[in-house]
Amino acid sequence: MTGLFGVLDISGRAMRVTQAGVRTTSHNIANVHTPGYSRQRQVVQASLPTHVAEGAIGNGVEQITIDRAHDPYVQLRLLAERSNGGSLRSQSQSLDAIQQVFNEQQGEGLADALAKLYSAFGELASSAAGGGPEREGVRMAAQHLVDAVRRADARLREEQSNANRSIAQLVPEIQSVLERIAELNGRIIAGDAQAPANDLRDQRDDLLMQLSEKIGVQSFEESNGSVTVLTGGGHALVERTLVHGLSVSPDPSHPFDPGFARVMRDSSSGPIDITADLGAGELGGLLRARDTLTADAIRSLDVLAYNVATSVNGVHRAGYGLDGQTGRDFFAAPAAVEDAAQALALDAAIAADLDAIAAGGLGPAPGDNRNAQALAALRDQGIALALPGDAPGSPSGPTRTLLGHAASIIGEVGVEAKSFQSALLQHERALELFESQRDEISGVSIDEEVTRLMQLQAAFQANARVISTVQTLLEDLVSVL
Amino acid sequence: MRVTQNMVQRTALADNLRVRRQLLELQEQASSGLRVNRPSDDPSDASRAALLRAEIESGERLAKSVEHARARLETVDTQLGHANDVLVRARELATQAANDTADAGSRRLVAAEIAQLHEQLVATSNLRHQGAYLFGGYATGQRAFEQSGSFADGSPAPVVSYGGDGAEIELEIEEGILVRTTLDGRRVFLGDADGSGSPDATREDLFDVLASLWQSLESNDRAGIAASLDRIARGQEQLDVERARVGGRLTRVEAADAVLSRRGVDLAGQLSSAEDADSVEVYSALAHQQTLLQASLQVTARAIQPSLLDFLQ
Repeated sequence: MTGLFGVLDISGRAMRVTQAGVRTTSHNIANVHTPGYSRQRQVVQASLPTHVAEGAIGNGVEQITIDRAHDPYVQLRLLAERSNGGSLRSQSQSLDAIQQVFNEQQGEGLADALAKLYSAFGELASSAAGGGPEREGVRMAAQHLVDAVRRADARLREEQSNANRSIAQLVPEIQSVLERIAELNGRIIAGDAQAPANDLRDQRDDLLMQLSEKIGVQSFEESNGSVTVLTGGGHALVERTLVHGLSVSPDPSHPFDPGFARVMRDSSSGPIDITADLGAGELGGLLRARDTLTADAIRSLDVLAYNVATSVNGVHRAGYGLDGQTGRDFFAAPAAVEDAAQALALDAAIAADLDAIAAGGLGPAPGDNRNAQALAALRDQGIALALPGDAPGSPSGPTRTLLGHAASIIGEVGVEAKSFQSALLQHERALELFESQRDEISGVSIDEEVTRLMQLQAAFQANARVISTVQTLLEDLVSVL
Repeated sequence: MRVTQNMVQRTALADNLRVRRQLLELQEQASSGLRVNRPSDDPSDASRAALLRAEIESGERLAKSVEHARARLETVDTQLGHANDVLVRARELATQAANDTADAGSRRLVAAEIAQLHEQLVATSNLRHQGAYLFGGYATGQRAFEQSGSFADGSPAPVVSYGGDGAEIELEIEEGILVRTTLDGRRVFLGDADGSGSPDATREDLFDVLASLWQSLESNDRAGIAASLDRIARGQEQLDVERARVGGRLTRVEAADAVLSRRGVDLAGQLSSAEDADSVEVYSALAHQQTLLQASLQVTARAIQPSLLDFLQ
């Protein structure tokens, strides 16, 4: 077909290709704000020429495919950063709540309540008459400390079970994302058989992005176009269209609450526990918040409560109450360091009778203030701290004053919260950079598309002109006949 | 490098957000007056502030303790003064009565006054301060000295016995430093420092001094009266020594008071430097940040708008 009809054919095909180009451009412009959308490009080439004796005569243009502007390497960096961000955000939120519990900057706190108890012992020592009001002061200060410790403990445990609740809610969400990825896998395998399934891949990439924010995953595309999703530890979650379901089950060995969830993955041999694999993403962050951050804070509080109770009790037992009795505890003796904060309470005798407070060093004489003095002096005494797991009477911790320990908890919590805050800031900058890198490659530029539109418009007009010229030529030919 | 609409918007928004976040932080500092509002703002200073507040609390408690110690020692000093007054008056009376011109009748009149002085001394030795008997050691709930018998013609002079435990109550006036705030009444009034039950060789039982003087006056025993004069003098010396002791302790308490108030000012300054915002710094940073926000908003408004479409007809 090298005649005039052949020219009509070339121009007609060119106009179709141009229209397809306009369509691609309009598709790009329409999706300028669609999250995860990758700009699409029409790929065209010159058609194979027709060989005649005089040479090869061109046959116009043809469209090969429409591909998407996509850089898998940038995509991987984005996935990793998203998963990092999910983890940092949930841990940072948890630490903000924890540091609020230990915050003494806006009102009274634990160190403050402890200092006031030592002062109350001191005031009891300065009363020569046996101290009715001063004894009441000691009991109030002690009750205040007990309340403050138990309130802090309750708030930390509340934070811990909040993290647990979020874990239990997050797992079904993750499951539904996994199912949608598997479904898209099926459609992409089917679609690729005809043409590259660009928009489905964009959708799947966006789902993978959501998924890594929730749970740290590794993923790679198979040759058939499906994507395989693995946990950080290598357990497959999605293979082709198959989803290994995630579920939560209670953890009877959890030191804080047997109802706390472990994350299980279905397999042919029944559910397996993959909790230890989940270090990244929001889920990993929540697990760390629950099992490490809040758990550590609760244990620091326990250490404080246990050592306060045992050190005060040790001195108190040596003294005499106004009723002449000795060898009594001041705080109810804690059974172990674990959960000592939760169990902190005044001894029943002290709660019932102010005269039981042992101010006297050698007997019940009302002016004997030696034991009260010794109790007040605990304030500046270094105590070998009993840590969780220590047997009673054999502390393994460093020697510190208890006020120093209370202050160091504030410092430690602050350092941790601060490091997460700055990590989060760094993450935001990194995410911004990687998203810009992605946009640089995959993002839609209106300027670019409009320019392309004008080019296509001109090409369309030129092709139309060719057709009308050919028409004139044909008319001329017909009029000769 | 391709620059797309999304990139421009994202960068503009992110920068805006950062400026606003810093603005919020500065506003918090300006409105609370604190540079450290939570531990993460400055972990080491937050921890230091908690310790400093505990130190200040302890200082305030010690200041109260110092007040107690001072009040108690001053009361003791006043009572020792009263006891001394008693002895001075007894000495005057004994000197008169020892005179040759005195006769049995006038000595008997003097004896009546000595009996009253004895009563005063017992009252003084049972000094109460805020409900506590200060000369009885730790046994502050009961009278330190009990008198048995009374002054009556022909009967033996009354005997005064000690009911306390001889202790001196200590109070903390500086961290770890204790000062004795009461005196051992047995040593002061009975001259019995070692608790043996009888006066030491160099000391006098003040009650007995007056009682035997009364006895001598009653029995018109001039030699006995003259001997009492020496014993009164020794008793006065005994009280002088105790008053000097109290004076020394008061000086120590005053010194502690000065140290405490100086340290209180010091600690308040340290706490302020640990947690307070420098208002000049905060306000200038706030103004700077506000300017930055306006600039950032203006730039954003201009950068987001134009595209090629704005220039095509």
